[in-house]
Amino acid sequence: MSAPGGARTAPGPDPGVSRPPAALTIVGFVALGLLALPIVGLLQRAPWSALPTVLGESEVLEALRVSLIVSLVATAACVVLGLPLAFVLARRRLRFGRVVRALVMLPMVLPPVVAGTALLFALGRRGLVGQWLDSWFGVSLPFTTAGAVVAAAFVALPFFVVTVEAALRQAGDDLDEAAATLGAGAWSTLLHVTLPTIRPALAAGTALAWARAVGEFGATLTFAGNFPGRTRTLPLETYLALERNPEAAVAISLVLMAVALAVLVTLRDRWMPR
Amino acid sequence: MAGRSVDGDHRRGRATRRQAAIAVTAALLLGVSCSGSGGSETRHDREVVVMAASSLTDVVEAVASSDPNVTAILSGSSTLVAQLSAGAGADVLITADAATMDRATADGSIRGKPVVIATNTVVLATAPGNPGGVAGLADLARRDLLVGLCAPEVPCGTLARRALDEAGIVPSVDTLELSVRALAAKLSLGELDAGLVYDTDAAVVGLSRVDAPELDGHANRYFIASASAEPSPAVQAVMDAFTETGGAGAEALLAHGFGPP
Repeated sequence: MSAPGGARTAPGPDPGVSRPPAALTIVGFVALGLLALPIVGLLQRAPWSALPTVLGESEVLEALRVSLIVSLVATAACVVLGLPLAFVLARRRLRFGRVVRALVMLPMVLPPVVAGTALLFALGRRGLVGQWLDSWFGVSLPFTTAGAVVAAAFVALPFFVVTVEAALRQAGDDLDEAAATLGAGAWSTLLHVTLPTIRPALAAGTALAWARAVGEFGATLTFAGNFPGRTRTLPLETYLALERNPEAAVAISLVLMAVALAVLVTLRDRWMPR
Repeated sequence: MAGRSVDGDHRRGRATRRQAAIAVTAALLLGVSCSGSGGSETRHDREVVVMAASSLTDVVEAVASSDPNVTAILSGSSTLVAQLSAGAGADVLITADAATMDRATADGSIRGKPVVIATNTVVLATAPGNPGGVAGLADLARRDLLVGLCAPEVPCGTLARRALDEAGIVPSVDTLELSVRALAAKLSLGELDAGLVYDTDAAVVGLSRVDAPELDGHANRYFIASASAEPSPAVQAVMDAFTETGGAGAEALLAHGFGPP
């Protein structure tokens, strides 16, 4: 199961033949510095010796618990909802394919606070759909853990869908057709042929969606509010800690950064083909 | 042939326009990020950056609209103080209580002497039409209501907590909002049933109020101070507008329902 990077088939001149102009290289390294600097800044302020104490504080542990619950449930929702969506996008001719694809990717580029505002007007107690949820089922999402899950799933879903859709397109449907010719049913083909083929993408999409869900801040704050033990996730705790106890903010940031790095390193072969 | 060349021109025109649009967007983004981070050196000499508590939004915006040199940064007092201590460039700081101002003077980001310019009170506000049937402060303990307070980090939260403690009420809180304006907005949208917001914010957003005698006597004081101990004439002029009777800032405070210092 080789990593389907596809970089080698890219059009254009062979890489490595011509070196970029010196000025370009210099600016390139400046950009690299810009990316690395904040991380260095965080590391040099890290209260290494106090780390266990700071991270063991009850507020931090509570936020960690909320973050784990919210991000894991949101990721599960992304897989359950995203897999069918990825199939629809990859295997069906949609009439407004471009529009649909743009819609799917929108949360990736939308400012999260806009996402939160939109969620409030859609699923809030007085929102388009939310008012019916409230009056029919007595369900009100804002200011609940479920609301935080919805916010996280909303921003994380595209990461899963886009990754899996790309893999489905790359895999093509030759194998599926072969399986069908040999008499396999649609579900059997899906389970025994298609899904195993795109297994790396499923893993990558899940990990990316989870990382995004863990990091969600703006939409959560706007839509789900901020209450310890219920909707206050690690990023919210970081923001509050920055005003109360900067050392704790640095400590939590380190944890979140380590998580993000771990996800990237695990996926390195997929996302940074050499 | 002619048709094809027109088509070609048309497409080229579209491509150029798209490139132009991308360039403009990039320039805007760069401009925004540069002015947002550390443009203090390139700033106009007479520009006065005023950081003010979010409950003063309308007041400071009124001052800024009559004085083009004033640039307003509005957020929760505690956020402003944190930003200042991290090196955000501001000439004047207005906080909604003494505690946040003390933090700014303690870490040296504010060197001018703080002066009280106004007071404010918290009121029990409800969603429009009071759908939750909130009758008094004690109702904040009702679990069937969605109740919001300001986070304890911001002055309106400190004030609310003190008033509730004194009244012996343990509220059933659903969210601790990071600024009073965020709380007022969620009340006005009907997403929360009740909350404690400043008198002035309830007025601006048009929230329904419920009498709560327990809140009487609980007021916060707004402090103004310049970042520098020897402010420039332009900065001093903005300070004066708030501290002197009849100044644009002082007038705006009165007009928006703030109490006298």
